[in-house]
Amino acid sequence: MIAARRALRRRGLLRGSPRAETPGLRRGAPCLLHARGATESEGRGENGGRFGGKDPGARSAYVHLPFCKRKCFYCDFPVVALGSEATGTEAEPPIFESYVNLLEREVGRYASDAARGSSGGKKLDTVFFGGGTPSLIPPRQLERVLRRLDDTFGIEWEGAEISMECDPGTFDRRRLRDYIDLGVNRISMGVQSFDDRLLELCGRSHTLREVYQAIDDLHAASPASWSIDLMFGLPHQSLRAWEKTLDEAVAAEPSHVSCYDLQVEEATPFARWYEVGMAPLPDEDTSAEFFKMASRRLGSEGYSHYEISNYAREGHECRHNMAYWRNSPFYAFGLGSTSNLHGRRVQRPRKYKDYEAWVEDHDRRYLELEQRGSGGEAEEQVVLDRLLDEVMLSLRLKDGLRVAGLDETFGGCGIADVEARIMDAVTVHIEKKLVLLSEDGKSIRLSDPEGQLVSNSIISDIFCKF
Amino acid sequence: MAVFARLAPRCACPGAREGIGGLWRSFVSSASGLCARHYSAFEGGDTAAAQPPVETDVANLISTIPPSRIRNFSIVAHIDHGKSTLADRILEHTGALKEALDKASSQYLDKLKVEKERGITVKAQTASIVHHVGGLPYLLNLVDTPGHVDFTYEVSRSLSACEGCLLLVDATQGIQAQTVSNCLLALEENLEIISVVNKIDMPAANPEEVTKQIEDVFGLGGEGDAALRVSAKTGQGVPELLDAVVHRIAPPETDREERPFKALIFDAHHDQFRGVVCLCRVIDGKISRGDKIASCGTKTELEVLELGLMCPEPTRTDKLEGGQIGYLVTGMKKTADIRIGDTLHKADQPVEALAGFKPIKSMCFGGIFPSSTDEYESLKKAIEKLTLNDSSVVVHRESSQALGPGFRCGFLGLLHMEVFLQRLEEEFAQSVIATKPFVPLKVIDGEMREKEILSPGDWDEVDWGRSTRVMEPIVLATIVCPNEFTGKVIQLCHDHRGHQVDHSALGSQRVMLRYNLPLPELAGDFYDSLKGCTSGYATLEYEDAGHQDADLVKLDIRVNGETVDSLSQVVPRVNSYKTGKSVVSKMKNLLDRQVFEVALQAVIGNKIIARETISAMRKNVLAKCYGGDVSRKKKLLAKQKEGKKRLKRLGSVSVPVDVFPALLK
Repeated sequence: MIAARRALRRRGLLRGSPRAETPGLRRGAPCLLHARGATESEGRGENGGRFGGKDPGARSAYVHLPFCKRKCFYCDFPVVALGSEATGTEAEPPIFESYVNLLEREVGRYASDAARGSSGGKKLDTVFFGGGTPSLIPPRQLERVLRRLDDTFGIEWEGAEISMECDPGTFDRRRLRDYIDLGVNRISMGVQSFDDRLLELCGRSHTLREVYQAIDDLHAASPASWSIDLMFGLPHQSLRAWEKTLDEAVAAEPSHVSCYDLQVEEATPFARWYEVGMAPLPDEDTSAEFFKMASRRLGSEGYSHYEISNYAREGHECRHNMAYWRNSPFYAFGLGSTSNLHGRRVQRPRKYKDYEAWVEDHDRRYLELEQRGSGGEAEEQVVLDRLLDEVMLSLRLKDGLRVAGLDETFGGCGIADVEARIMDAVTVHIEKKLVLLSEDGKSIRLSDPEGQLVSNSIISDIFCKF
Repeated sequence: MAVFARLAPRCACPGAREGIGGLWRSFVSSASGLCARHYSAFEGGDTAAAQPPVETDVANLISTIPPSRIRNFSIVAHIDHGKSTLADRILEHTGALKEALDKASSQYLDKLKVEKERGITVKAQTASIVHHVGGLPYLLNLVDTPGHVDFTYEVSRSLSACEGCLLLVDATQGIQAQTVSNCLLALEENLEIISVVNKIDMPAANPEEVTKQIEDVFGLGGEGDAALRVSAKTGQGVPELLDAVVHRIAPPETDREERPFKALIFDAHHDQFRGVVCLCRVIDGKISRGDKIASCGTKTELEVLELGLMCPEPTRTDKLEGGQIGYLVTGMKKTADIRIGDTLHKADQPVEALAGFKPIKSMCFGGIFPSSTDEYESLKKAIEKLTLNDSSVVVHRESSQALGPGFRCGFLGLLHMEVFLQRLEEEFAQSVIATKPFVPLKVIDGEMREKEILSPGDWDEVDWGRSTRVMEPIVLATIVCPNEFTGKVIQLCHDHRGHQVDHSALGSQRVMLRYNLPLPELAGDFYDSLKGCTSGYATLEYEDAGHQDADLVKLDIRVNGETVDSLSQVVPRVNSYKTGKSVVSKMKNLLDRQVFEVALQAVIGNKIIARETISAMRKNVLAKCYGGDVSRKKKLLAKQKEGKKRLKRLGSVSVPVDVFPALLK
């Protein structure tokens, strides 16, 4: 079997799609070109139309694999809990097969695109398997999805980033190697904490022992890139516990670390049990201290704080996530996932049954969407949304937002004085050193950590000007 | 802002307290867009309003009734003692209303929503009715009076249009504060007072005790003029009451033939089709449509375009004669052109003015600002419309650094201000921010030059010298409460710089306290505290009692070093530290943390007397933000943006509009 997979990968490598490609849009191209240009170059298919078709600018695909052993207490993702027996080594639950069938169908909707007269898109540069716990999926099933993606869009095997989320306790060294053989070259491991008590309090299905085991396995399998996901601001978490978790994470020598601030989401057990800012959750000051401690510690270990929640060694930034933050278009497949194609975000249903029906009805839904879209949705609103997305996302990044040039980009689309309005909003924050001006004076970014800590306040101040 | 609104306390029921908080909530939730119907009887119906009223049989009958068979009277009572219900029964009994009023439309004379809600009468209404005694028709003119403290002057003018009044007392409640003050007004006008004990059908009624109270307190009662017992609800005793009106109240003294036309304007309102409509009592002579008239106060010559009787709907007639009460339309556009209490005469036959006329004097001022600056124009229009009908409101433009452009309005009193704000909100759907009412102060310098201070801002312009004196208005407050609360009430009055004038028993259960209190004290939480410390049982009424020296200072509030104009206040020196401390600590609790530290200071002159620091916000939620999170995250930020767009600035600090009511309270 492994050989077959290797063959698949080779075939992928060899195949190198002969399809004609429309030149992709350069990043930072005038706002409307992204939304409008695609339309013009693509034309409209008789069924899916442009919204249901490929986006020539999209080079990333997200695939949601919703299965988990159990749902963590803080989680509000679309998740299908299988019960704790469903480890990777047991017999395969039949739902994997049927879900992957669905995924194949959904991806396949784009396949006949060329036949419908679309000029198609570029090959995928990043693929991300998120969850859920993707590492519960047997390699055989993952292979099916990758193959379908490759058949449909083409995967730029040479250099593509193929990420996969894995949780401790759901994989072993062998399985990891299988995934890597299929082309996976980046593993994002959901550790969350190096503290057994906290893992239990969060409802995680793994133990600290399994975390260490997983780290050993990763070192052995040695993917090109791997990340440890951590959470701070957990109930009963002390600064000392967080310090220890950071120490252990650094000691494991991952190429990438994500540090997520716990967000208490509605309708989760955490929302029922805890109140934000009240014990046992940390108060605001402690919570800020968690963030600062991570920034300090990981910074001093040579990890670059390249996004509010993300740290990486040079060259190990997650390219897939960068596509999100750079507001680039991307495909998405699977339960509850959101795609961003043709300047439009579309979320799939979060419930399994609804998602099934959605895939069934894919073409019609997109057609509807398109008709609604062309039915006079205020063009200016679309453009404004795009601008605000750009502001919001760019300011999460270390490089910040390039303000110079926004007038040119958005001015023609009916939004005047973009640069002046943004600068007006941040003047007070620049004074207080929460926002920093780049040396050439053309970009702004949030200071690390003070500005990043109050990013919502600063970004909504900018929103106020529009 | 405080108030007296709830001078309409629903009396004895502690649960009936409606805090100012409630009022503000209703301001914010606004929306009903209730139309400004019912300013006057004219504006009642939509199509009907456009049509002139017509002569009716009743009007014809009335014109034949001689002055000797006319009785002019009003009803005075404490709030909720049943005045409006009794008026309804009287109208029904005399057939003035075709059908009995059902509960929803009851209280014919209280037309404004705010009146029905609060059980108070803001604008007086009037009705002419015919009642037969001994086979002869009598014309009874029921002059309704505004039911609250700020309109004492209007009440006295209405009463002066009458020869008698019904003193209505609730048999379950006994004499209350407003009963006392209104009865005193009636006595001042030398009216024949018929005491009436109402609600005798109630299980808790104690007519004997109440009758005795009336005797004890007012010296009314005894042989021949014993208190009548009625139930306005069931109509029991109402026929006898009307007979008593005929028998006991004197007919008006008038000379219709020899003396020139002379009339007292006791009320005026604005009608969208006719302009100003005056209600007047004809003293002598007669007046017809087309006559030229003028008033002693304004001298402006006007033509009578229409006149008639209130039956109770306005009913056009050819003339009004001595002893009658009716309405006049002269084509005046603004009620401000008319002065309540003024005397009308024929243009070519001047008469001596009636005594008792007083110009309008604002007793408190409040800043009124739109909650969003782009609502300034609509607020301006609403205020213009509302003041068309309430000329006692004085309006100036004002601009505040924190609240933007707005208005500074002068009112007859605190309740008047509150009712005005409520009407702005309910009838004109305006969402406003009002500053704490400011009671005008007098400053007298060494050379006895007087300067009036109408807002804390004026304080800075005073050229302070050694002998500069500050005078504040005081009131004589009448408080009635059950015996067991006496101690608490005395303590409360003392804490509000009060001086006791009287302390007497009202029967065996209750006590009447009279205090001189500085009027500014009542602009705060006095009324709420009074209700609070007496479980809602105390009633309060007050009247002007001149000015007295006061030791006051101006208290400024600084936010990060900048003085915020709309938060300045003038306070007694003795309380200044306490007030300063409480203001900044209240602000600390109300204001959200900012991304930088905020210093709040209470300052007198240049001296900081209290300070609080709001530490900087440390951290927002730093959620992850991947593909699917983007829309959600943006929604969150967009929501924050909406909140921020409604922010006002306090110095360098942004504050949501909805904290202002509490901040300015």
